[in-house]
Amino acid sequence: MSLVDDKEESYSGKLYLFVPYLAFTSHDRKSVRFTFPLCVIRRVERLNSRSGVFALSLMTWHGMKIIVQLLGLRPTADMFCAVLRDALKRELQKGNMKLMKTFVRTCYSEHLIPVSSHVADNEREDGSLIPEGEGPLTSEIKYLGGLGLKYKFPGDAKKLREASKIKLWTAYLRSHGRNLTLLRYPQCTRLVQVGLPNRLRGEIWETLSGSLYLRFSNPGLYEKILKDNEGRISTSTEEIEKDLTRSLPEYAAYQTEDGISTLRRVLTAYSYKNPELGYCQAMNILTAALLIYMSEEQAFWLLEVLCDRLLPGYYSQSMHGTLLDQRVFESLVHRCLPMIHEHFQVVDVQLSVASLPWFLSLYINSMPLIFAFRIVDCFFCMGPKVLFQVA
Amino acid sequence: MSRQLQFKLVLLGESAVGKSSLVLRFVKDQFDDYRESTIGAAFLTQTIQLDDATTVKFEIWDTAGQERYKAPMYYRNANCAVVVYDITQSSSLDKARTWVRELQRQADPSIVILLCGNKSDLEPRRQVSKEEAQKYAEEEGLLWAEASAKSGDGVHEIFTSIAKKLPLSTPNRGAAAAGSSGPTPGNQRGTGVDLNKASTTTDGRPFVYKYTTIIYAPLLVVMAADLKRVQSHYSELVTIECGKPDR
Repeated sequence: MSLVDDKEESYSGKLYLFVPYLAFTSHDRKSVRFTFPLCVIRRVERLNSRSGVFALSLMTWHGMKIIVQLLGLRPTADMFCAVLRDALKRELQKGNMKLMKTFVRTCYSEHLIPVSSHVADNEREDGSLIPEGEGPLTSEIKYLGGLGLKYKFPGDAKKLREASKIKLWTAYLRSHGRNLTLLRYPQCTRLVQVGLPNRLRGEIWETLSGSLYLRFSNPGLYEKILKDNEGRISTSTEEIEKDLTRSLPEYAAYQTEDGISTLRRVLTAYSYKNPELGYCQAMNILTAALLIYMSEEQAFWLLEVLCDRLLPGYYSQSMHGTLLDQRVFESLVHRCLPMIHEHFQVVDVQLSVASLPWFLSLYINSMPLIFAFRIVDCFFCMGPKVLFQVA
Repeated sequence: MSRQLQFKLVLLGESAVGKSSLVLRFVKDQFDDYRESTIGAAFLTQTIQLDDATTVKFEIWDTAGQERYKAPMYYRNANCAVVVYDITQSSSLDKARTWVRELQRQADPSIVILLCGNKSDLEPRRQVSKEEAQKYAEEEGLLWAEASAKSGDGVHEIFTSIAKKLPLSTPNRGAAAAGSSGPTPGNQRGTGVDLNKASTTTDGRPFVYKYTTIIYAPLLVVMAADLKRVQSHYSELVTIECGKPDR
């Protein structure tokens, strides 16, 4: 199919309908990508065919209009439309549209771009900085955020150019959708590469890694797991307990009971969600880092994506994924950097012993936090290959 | 003539017994109330003067305590091991026993093992008696000591007593110089390496630490390059400095 966006640019690629999701990737896998839950689709219109091409116009919750031209055979296109129509109907009956509306309010981006300025509303286009906190209209539902909101984010906001970054992201999110309706253009990747702004970081991590969809489709599960397992003790909870004060201990929040119990809840909830994996050292450091930028529930789902999809086998009992990747890394060094490989041989240093903690903790305990978070940004945007590139 | 001998020492023991804190006390004479759990392994080196003619340099491998990290055999080619338990946690001595058994079975037969009870400053919370641990150590032929990384008591003595037990006389002797043709780097098995003869190991710092600062440099260049691309799109974003490390 081909996708035509608001600037009349068109991209050819593949459209997938996995009920209840609609996803698109351009053929080069770079130009544009999206994954929409069907409930964010506000309206579908069949366009009078331009030169006999079968085309649909989709309007998303955030007011974006996308034109989809189906290039397959006519019966296939008809079938696609029928399936889409039925699926949309079912979403509406299940009340998912309503759920979606409350769900998106938990995202910081909704507070950067208030509801009133949906659909090409220009009143905030003057470029003025979005004020700290929220406007009067949007303050009823609090967006989710991490410990950083209370205990400060690492680094100097001025030096990190927080304000400019927020401005750039506001512009991007306004024109290309946000959270559940984000369209990923190369520009999105470039904005990630310069480092995410602190307040948006958690949400963008969720969106890019896809954990946002898990949180959306499993409302209340995190709280339920905690409640069902309240007071239970296991090997994992004992191991977690030992590491709570040893996870980013220099960060202010982790010197308070508040921060420690936040970390405890996420790690124990995950150990019950995935009892076979349980708890692996390094997850404490990772989770502590995530919690600076995201709420418990957000961190919980991101952890699920990390352990299950992005880094399978890294934190499991056998840690086979980590060990395998260390071998891959060593052989990459051997092949691409023979001089370095040779040097390590001469001084009898096994490279994997040094690199293991880098991969396991996503560099979070290997360098100053602000640098490490830049790597984590790229990791969630571009995938695990980033770990090898940095190493 | 004075000589310097190098030995590989590995620290083993249950999670949170204070392995890293013992090393920190020994190497830097510091104690940190807030310390991150060790992931994988960390390396440090420290030299001690044994007598006028001999200095011993320890290449210390500090390991993660959690069970699943056992897979990579960090004690491979180790000359000596410090198996640590926490005197306030009787279960940690059981774990130490498991480690001792494994070392006796799998490690180099000439390995010098010291059993160390850490946190001796927490006397009121003691769960492991001195007698019990000492008796076990004698049965197994291990060195034994108690120490406190927090107060510093007994820490230096651990390493000195190990050094005295190591085969210092000639680098080539020692029961398990198996396959070792001499004190060349990369062949540090069984006996120590005489650094006056080995030309490659000149500087006390292990390679990995020495170069971490250099590793940042290309990383920042990459980030800066990306920044330029973005700047071409947005003129208002003049520079984004990476800022100074704040931890």
